[in-house]
Amino acid sequence: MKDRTDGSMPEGAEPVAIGLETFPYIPAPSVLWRAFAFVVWTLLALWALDGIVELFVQYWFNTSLGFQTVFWTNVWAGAMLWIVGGTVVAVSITIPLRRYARSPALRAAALSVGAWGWLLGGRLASSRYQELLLGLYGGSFGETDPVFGHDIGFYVFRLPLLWTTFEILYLPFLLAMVAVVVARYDSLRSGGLLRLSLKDRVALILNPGFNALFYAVGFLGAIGTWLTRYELLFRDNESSGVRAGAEYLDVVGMLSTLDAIYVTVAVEIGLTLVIGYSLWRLYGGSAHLESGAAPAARPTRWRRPVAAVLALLAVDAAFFVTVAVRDRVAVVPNEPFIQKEFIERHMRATRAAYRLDDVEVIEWEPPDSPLTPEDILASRTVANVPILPGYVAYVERRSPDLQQAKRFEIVGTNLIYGPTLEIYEQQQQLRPYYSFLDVDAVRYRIDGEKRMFVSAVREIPSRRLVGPQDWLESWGTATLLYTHGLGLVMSPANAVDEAGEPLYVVRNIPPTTAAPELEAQPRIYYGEGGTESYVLTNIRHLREFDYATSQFRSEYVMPPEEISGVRIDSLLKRIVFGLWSVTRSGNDLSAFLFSDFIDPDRTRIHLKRSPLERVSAVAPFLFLDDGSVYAVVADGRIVWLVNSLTTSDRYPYSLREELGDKATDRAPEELQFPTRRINYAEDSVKAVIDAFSGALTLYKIADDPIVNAWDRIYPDLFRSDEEMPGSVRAHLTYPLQWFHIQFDDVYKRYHQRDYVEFYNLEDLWDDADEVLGPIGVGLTGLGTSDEATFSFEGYHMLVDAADLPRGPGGYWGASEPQFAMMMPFTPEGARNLRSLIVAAQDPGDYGKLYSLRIPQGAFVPGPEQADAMIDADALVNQQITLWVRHGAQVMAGHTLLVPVHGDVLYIQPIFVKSAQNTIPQIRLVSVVYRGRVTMAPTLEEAIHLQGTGPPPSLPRVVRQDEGVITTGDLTQ
Amino acid sequence: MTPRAGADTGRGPEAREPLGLSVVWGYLVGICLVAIPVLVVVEDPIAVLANLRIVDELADVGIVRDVDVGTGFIDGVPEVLAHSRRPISWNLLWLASLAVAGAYLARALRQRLVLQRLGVSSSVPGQLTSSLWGRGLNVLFPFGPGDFGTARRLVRAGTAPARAIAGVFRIRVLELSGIAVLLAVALALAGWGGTLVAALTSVLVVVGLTLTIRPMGDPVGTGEPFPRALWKALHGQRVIADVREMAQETSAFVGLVALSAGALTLEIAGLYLLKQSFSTREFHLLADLPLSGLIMAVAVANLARVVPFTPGGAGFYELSMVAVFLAYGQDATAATTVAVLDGLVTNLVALALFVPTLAGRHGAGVLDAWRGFFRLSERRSTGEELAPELLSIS
Repeated sequence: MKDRTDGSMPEGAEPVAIGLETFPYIPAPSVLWRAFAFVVWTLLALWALDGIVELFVQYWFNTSLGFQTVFWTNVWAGAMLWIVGGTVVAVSITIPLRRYARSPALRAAALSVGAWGWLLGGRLASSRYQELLLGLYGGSFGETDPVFGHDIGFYVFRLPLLWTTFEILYLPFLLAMVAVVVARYDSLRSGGLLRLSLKDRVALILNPGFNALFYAVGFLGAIGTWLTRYELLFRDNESSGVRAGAEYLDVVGMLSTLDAIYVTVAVEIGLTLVIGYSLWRLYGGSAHLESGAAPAARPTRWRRPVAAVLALLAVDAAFFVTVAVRDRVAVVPNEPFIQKEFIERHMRATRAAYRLDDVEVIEWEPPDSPLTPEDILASRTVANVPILPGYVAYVERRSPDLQQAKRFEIVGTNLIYGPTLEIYEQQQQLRPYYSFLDVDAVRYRIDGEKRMFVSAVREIPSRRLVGPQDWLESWGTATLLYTHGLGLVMSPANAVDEAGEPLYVVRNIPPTTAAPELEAQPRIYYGEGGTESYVLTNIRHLREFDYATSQFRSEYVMPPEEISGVRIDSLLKRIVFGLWSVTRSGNDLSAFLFSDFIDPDRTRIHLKRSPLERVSAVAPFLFLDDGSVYAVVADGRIVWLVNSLTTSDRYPYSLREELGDKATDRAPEELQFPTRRINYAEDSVKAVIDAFSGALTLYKIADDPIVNAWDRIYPDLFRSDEEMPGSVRAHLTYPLQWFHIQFDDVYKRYHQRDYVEFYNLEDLWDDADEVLGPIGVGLTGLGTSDEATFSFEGYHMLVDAADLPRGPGGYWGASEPQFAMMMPFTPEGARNLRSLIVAAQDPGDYGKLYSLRIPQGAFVPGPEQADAMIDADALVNQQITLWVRHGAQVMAGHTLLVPVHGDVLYIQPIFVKSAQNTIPQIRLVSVVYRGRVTMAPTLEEAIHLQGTGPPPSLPRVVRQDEGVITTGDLTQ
Repeated sequence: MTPRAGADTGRGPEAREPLGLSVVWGYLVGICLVAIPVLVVVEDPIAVLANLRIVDELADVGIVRDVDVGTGFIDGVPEVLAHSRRPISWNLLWLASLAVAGAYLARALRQRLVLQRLGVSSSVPGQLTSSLWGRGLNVLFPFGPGDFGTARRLVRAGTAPARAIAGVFRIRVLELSGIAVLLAVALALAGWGGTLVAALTSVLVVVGLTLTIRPMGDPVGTGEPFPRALWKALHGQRVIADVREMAQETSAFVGLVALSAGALTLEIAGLYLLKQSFSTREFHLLADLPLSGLIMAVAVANLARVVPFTPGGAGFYELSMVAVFLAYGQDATAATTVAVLDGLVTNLVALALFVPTLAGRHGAGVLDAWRGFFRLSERRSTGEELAPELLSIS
């Protein structure tokens, strides 16, 4: 390549004078530091702004609910921790840098870094405010641990605070050590001392400030190690009969884990002294280099300190090895006998922590003689049997089942079973902007008779839940116009019409009902649909959309006297809510600042509108049961009930489990509450939220040490159990997630009382399975059928005590059927019925738990076996094949295990969606009783059919040798 | 690789700052910034790995526990594993790579045309390879030694240093012009509705990045009002003068700007093909992203890459692209997946085109160019004269 003078550029002309200074280059570190500091300060400023906005919003929100004291308690606790934690971190960074660094850049940077440390350290510390409050206000459990003899309250309330204090002190000391090293290096560099030998440089860098900090860190570390002795009580032991807590090896004898911890503490102290002293001596030989003075007369000798360090480490390692050897030689070969006391401790603690001591065990041996159809039909349990499911089941998103993962991948939804929801959506949604997010099983007393219903709330869900929709596109429509849903839809759970579709007791828009008990203010400003959204009411120029009338629409304005939401009556609120919306709900800053719709005299903002958001904003310490959030009519208002639990993971010896991870989810992913790893919980709080005004009331229903502590911390937060209105109490349900963890995770193993039986897993249970979903369609490519096997979860049913096996103490007090939650179990690895768990839920009996237990040697078919009988029935198959051939979708419904006069009956509705009519209809009901399958359009007919043909005591027999199927008595 | 040297900040030899520290910083920041969208923006980082089809590979080598196999260190979630096993459309991926390669070749052609206009006679391969060479250097090293490397290679081939520097500067101006054209097109397509916010967000991201790195890193700006320092640091006066000079030949100028926009358009096509190649019928990455969003993303990301702070603009490129996608209301996981993929492909293709340019004795020239760049940076930091002869010193 060569320049040419006859090219495109005129002769003699030169391009614009441009030099190498226009090229990129490597900036100096100090320049990069300035840029970095600028970015960090910008991010911190944004973060601080976000925090301040949240603080303001939280204050106004709490005030609107009458919980100002809760807010201020939290703020004071957080502020105290922030000041202490932040200051300690800031000082630990700034002082060493300012004290030792000599370069102006680093000394200046020290202030910035110290300020960042104050902000971040303070924030981290303040996030522990709950531990501080519980540590200060936590009381006694009235029981002590068997190893150290401390009250359980020490572990649940005070130990976490001790750890927090330790961390607040330990981390800053570590930071200070790093700061000293950096600053001393800078000092040497600035003083031209980097040319010294490595030994002298190290000596000068690590002294004198570092040395003092080293002692502090060493001794603090020893304290931390000493504290770990308590962690033995909560340790998970995967391969031991003592699945949680200290074992024999840990606490018995001299060569125990506990002693190993003490040895380590001693070794840490020894190491701190030896190394610290050696560093000091090292410095003594080099200090003159810094000051220019004569060398000290302390030559540095390494051999002794190194030998001492190695000896100390060897002692520690040797002790641990000895403990491990003792485990192999003396403990493992003698299990479980040697562990008896510890296994029993673990069993007792787990049963106590999960409230399983009160489960009443009732032996259940079904009667020898079969019931007649008339007997069955006379049962009040059968009369109330909910063939219309009162729940929606979703495949767990993180299912360990690869087939389900594949299903989700292909079908695009994790909804597996929800015919009632589908029916409601098609028959009662009526307008495109409404949705039903869930259906719930509830009970009401109508005309004096308690009956079970399926209920759903007609809501206008937020964009977060339903994605972009026309009516949610603009700020005006989403927040000013479509502000509320409208009413409930309700059907009896035990009846359908001739077409197999639900009957309605509340329906249509506006909602109509013939039952005065179900009449209520229908407007739903607060509901599950309001997740991550807000609306404004009492605005200028516009009235809210209420509902569509026959030709136009009805409009509504929330009565100004209704105490609801937060009034936007200042510029500050406009700015704050606008900023709040930027990151949380739609980026509507300009609308808040400039919209003329907002009237400072009356406009209100309704935020945190979903029941879970609302409760967790006020009481974040509660675990909210997303599996049982439901709406009921109480005193003319629609209210949401949220089951709430107090939890801990610090109950000595108790098994840790995941709370909130049912195998089949009952709520869409967006409405789920985060799971918690716990080893103690109590069904302690019932939250009630008014769907119209958003008013929140928390009722404390248990005398639990943890909820009592929170009650002392926030005296205005809870109301007592006695204050709960009867209209609310009549609708209480047992928390589904709590029921799941109690029985499906814990009781299935911990019902075994004998430690050897427990150790050998002689009577381990498993949750019963059932087959759900479309039959024989092959939509998902999973095979010829889309139906899938799912684990049972708790289901509701009105149960008559007369239908249960006779127990020694009877059941509940009332003579009428109890609204109970039930769940069947099979033996692990088998499918026959082993137990039925029943939880009473009605007032007066709430929380009574029963385990109806089939004798181990007796065979009673389990639900999956009942499903298999239905599947194998020739008539059923013939009918399903016929439907499928005509393009219909057939769906196996929930298999109901129904106790009848001490016997076991299975009922399964079969839903059909024809090609022309996509509404699921119950076209058949299958009944399985003592191995016989009958099927008819109605439950009564199917039960009647049980009375025809050979007696049910004679099982069908396949004589393979003859290749024919006959029916006869095995004994013949 | 990095010479032991320090920048003199005028406070005596003991205060010389080690530029090697800045280089380490550049690499670390690149890694951290790539990690930010993956670890911070996305709720579930493992989902990004699944979208990138990495999780199943990790399961295959026994790092992630597969439920079918049962071995591995980290628990694998079947759903995520299933996602990770979705097929990749390799044909589309190759097409995307070709489109990106086409974009680099178009830039190389642009360089040749610019040098022609500046009166540099040249062999076609020589001018084309110097462009690809510079781009490759930018991928390997932080702080953008590519311009220096390109100019150096031109000088070694006989071009006068002043013309080589002017040519490289002009190419940068044209690249910015192309980006400006695309931004204008994107805004026109998007209209002034809700996407105005997206546009503003994107511009803010880039301006923020630029402000924090370049002008403050330029000693020229020290002590001056910020806007003036910014103007100086971005060499605004010279950019205007250069544009004026080019505009004297309107048709040639328009043609060069069109070529610049064309190169970026090929990158847009590459981005589209890339996201399609990692999409399946059931699972579509950025399915409802409008054309304006694609254009805006490529324009803004390339603008961020003009800031040569990290190797290949790593981190700045991806973060800017993610910001645009998020501003367009896209899912964070999908946005991060596509941005990381695009950053990866554009840099890998650049390296693939860089390798042939190492033929002959140019391989050794890589380190030589880096040393020269390092020397340039030292001199600049100490305020020494930046003689064009620096380009020819070995």
